[in-house]
Amino acid sequence: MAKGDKRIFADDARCLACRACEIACSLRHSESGVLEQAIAERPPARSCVVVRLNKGKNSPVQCMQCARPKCVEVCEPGALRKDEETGLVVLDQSKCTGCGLCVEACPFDAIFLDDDRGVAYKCDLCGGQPACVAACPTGSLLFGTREEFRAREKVGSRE
Amino acid sequence: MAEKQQRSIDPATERALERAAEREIDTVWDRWAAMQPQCGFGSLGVCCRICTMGPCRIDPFGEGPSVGVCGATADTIAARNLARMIASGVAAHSDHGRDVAHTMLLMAKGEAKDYQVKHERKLREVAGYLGIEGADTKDPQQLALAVAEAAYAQFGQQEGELSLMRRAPKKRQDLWRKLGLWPRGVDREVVEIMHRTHMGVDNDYHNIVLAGMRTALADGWGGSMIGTDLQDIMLGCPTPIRAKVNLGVLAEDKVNIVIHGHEPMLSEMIVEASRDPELLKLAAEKGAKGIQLSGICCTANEVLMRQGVPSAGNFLQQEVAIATGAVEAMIVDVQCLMPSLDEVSRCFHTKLITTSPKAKFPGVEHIEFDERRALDVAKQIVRIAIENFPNRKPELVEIPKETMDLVAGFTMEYVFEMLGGRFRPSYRPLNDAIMAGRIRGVAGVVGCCNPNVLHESCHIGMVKELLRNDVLVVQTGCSAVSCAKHGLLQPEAAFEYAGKGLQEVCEAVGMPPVLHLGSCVDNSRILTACCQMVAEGGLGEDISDLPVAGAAPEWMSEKAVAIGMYVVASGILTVFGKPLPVLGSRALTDFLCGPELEDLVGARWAFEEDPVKAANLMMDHIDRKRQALKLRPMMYPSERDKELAAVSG
Repeated sequence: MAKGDKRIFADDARCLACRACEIACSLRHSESGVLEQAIAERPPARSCVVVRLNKGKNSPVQCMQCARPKCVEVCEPGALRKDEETGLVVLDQSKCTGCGLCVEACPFDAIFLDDDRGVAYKCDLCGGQPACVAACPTGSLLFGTREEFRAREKVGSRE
Repeated sequence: MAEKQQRSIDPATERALERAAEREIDTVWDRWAAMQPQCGFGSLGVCCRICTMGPCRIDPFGEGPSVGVCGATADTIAARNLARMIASGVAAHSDHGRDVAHTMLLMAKGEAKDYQVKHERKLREVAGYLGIEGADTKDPQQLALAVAEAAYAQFGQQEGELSLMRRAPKKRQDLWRKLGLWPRGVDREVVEIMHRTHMGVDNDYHNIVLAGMRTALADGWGGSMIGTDLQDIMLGCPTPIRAKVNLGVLAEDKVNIVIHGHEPMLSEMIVEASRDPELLKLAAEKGAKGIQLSGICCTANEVLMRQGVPSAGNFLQQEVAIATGAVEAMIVDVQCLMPSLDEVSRCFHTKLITTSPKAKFPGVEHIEFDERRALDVAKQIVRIAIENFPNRKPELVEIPKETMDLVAGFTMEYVFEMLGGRFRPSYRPLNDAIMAGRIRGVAGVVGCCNPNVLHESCHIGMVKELLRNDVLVVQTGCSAVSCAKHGLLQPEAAFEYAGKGLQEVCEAVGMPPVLHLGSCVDNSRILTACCQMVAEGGLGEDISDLPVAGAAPEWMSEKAVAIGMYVVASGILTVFGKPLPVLGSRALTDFLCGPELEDLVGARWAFEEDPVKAANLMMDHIDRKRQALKLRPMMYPSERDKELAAVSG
């Protein structure tokens, strides 16, 4: 990522594992965009963010938009590429064969294989207004530059 | 990529889990791991789903909403949630007690011929407490009817006072009256909590907690106590009995019937049915050497206490019991039944049978228990189990070999004889032992098991720390089964684990240093024992003066919350391992755990996850009570006493 590029950062200390981010992401990527209908869609809408427990801390994980992405390296059909302008890792599902090599390659387990649709899927930043960030009730997720993230006040542990 | 983590300190359970994993059978531990991480809003108590202006969440970091849509603060939200947990726990225990009272009513009217009065003395005592005329003179059958009617009526009472609380020391009764904590009727209190916690009713967390305490008291001195007392009357008052515990009690060559749930009106009948000569003959015809009964959870404790039926394990072992492949039938009634039992039983020949209309599983065979035909229904169920014996698949059977002996069957009543002897039954020797410093005090270590801690490690860790410091431990429920499995409920355990003072008492009496009081409704025995200790004299005038403390180190259920609350409201410090879901409200947490509640009711809550630290917290409290009573220092100071003396110089 170049300096000034925006991506999603997570402050683990603020994450309470409520998974509002996962629901919001699924909803944003659903056909209907309406929660009550989206949960009945088949195949189901997928979440590109997942909250995991990592060494005792809650950790919302989505594509890190790596500077030297392993997934791009292994992608034979060229479905994954690094966009020169934005610095983002972009997935073109129409070129994806569903081989799953990117899933194995990603060090963050942040790209997934959709067994129903036969393609990979990952965080696409929702075109600039990430749903997960908007949904997060504690402000754990931030869409901004690394400097902006660092400049944010650290939260102490609350009893 | 999950590492193989130890899930239990019980080797039988660990081995059984390995086998389950090999067979790809999911257990509660797998599902718990898959649920991680769990929602912090829920754990902190600041998620509110009471109305659909919500659901609301208070941001515990203080940046998002600090009130719900209606304006409720974290204090109100957490207090309401806690109150509903109490109401549910009280309801569970009290419905159990109500069922027992109802059975006694049917029995007294001659409509439930399989039950009878087995303990006339207790019948007359309970009649006295219920304020029934002629408690000493009436004919037992007549008296049974009066007792049953009076007990049954406690549940639907609208006004007045629950009767059995008059057993408490006068000072405690006066305090309850002064604070408005005396429940008016069992059901009324539960209903009122549901009302108070409805949207837009009680907003004051103090007020909510007070109502919660009153409702909890309707359990401990109401529903649960009625359950214990009437069960003793109809099924016999337990006396010390030898038994076995853990999965190894399942038999290779007999029909295994596992009884799970809570109400002994059913399990006692299963015991009787299993002794029926015709059914035993049928078992032999099917190739079995007999019928082996065992239990899970509290119904196991009930038949353990009175009949010596072994316990196959506690709450977390219910699935692995089936996964031994050796269970012909698991018979369940109410409470602590995992819905997963159905799926697990389908991996084997095991028949899961529900018996209560309140607890059904979709698609699972239901044979409704009817007290009017109790023994017939029990025999019907036992017959089904026997006929299932030939379906056992030997290649799937692996019964862990671990069992442990224990002595159970201790009650408030038995302590009189145990310590005072047959001719001069009395609590005097117990009180004297405490006053003389042989016994530091008494700790009730009770409660459930939970996969959120290393299974049984907190029960064992806490009890061992208490024993080495001369604290007599009394137990109920899954905690008792845990400690029994590790050999702590044998008289011999006094020599291995107890300090010198406690050892001397145990040796003189021939009792274990850890006394099994029974099931979770039998926590009421702890209350009545405390009343006797106060009445005997020398240890203060109120329950809150006694050098005692309570703990549930691995708690799971709402019933545990209800018990904790009634123990506190009765004047006894209560320590939970993982905290109540209230930490999202600083004010509520401070109120529950702080000096204000202690000033009010003479006791408070404490949360401490480390079992040894928790035990020491309890002992600090017990020592303070000893000091206030001006009791002698401990006769045989422990390491801990010496360290504390060194520090204070």
